[in-house]
Amino acid sequence: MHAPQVKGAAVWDSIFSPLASEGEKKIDLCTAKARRSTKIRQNPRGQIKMFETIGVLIVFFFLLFTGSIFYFAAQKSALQKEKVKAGEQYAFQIVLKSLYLPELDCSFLQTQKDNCIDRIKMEKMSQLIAKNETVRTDYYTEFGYATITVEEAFPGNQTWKLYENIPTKLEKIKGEEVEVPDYIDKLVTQSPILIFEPWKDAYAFGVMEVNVYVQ
Amino acid sequence: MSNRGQVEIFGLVIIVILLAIGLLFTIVILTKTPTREVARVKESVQAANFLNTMMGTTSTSCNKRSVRELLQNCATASQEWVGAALCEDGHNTCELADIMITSMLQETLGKWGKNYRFNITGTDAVEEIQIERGPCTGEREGSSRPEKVRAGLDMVLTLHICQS
Repeated sequence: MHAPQVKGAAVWDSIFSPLASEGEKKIDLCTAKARRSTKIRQNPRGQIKMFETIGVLIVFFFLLFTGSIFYFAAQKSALQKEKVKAGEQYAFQIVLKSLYLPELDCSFLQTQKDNCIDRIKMEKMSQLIAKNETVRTDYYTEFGYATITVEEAFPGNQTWKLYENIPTKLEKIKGEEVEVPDYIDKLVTQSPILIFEPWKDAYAFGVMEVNVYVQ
Repeated sequence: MSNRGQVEIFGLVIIVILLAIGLLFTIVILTKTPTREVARVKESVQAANFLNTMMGTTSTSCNKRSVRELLQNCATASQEWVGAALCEDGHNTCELADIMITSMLQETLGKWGKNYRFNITGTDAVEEIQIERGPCTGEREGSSRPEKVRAGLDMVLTLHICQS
């Protein structure tokens, strides 16, 4: 039993020892490669390259960020200007509407006098708008949030309030709910207008002032 | 190596220059004053409406003559308003027209803080009516209105609303 055992061991050695030495060799080779790769990673030139790339990326994103800040600021400013322009145009439209109101015109035998309002018609209309909620609502579709006043500049100095609708909101002041004006800007436009006084058959020089509230 | 460094510095300088130009453009865009298109139209309409309204306004004296009628009478007078019709209050038509126009301008454009220039051309008498307020060197908006005095004789009224 013993002899064959020895024989078996010899055979085992003869077969596997060359392989074992080859394996050792391979292990040695791997260690060498690993050592070499560690040497490459620690190369200062590579590190510098990497930092350079990171630096370029940082600068790129910084420039992108700064540029976008300026771009959006410019866009915001342009939008603001457009908003102001649109508000001014809207206010001017209301001025023209109020200047040519057919309810107030000075008409004689079916002919209208340009740039003229009848004083009696104006007084009646201002009273009606002030008293009647339904009429005020009807004119809201025409004038929106605005105040329209007519002031005589020559020879007298009377003033009439034709229409008034100021946007308001409820606000709590010292525990009480109070109505306060709710607008960010007020666009004022004045335009000279003739005021016809039928009982005197005379024309006064007046000014129509339109305040349009921008919310 | 030195050559490569020079190229890099050159690139950097170009980037800095481009950035500076971009920044300059942005500042110019951001600080650009808002356009006055609507304001210009408004002032032009205001001036036209003023002339139209003013011409139709009636005087309290002089048989309720309108400014148009006063100026038409004034235009036929000679220099220094000699020959202009005399009104009940002692003023002649040229003087009354001058007083009325001055008052209307003061009550409107003057009150709104705007400088203006008003003048009439056509005859010697009406050319003496010149009303102005403040300096008027910069941008201005205005309106002109021709008026008939009689056949073959016209006068032109001009009103300028000034920015400065």
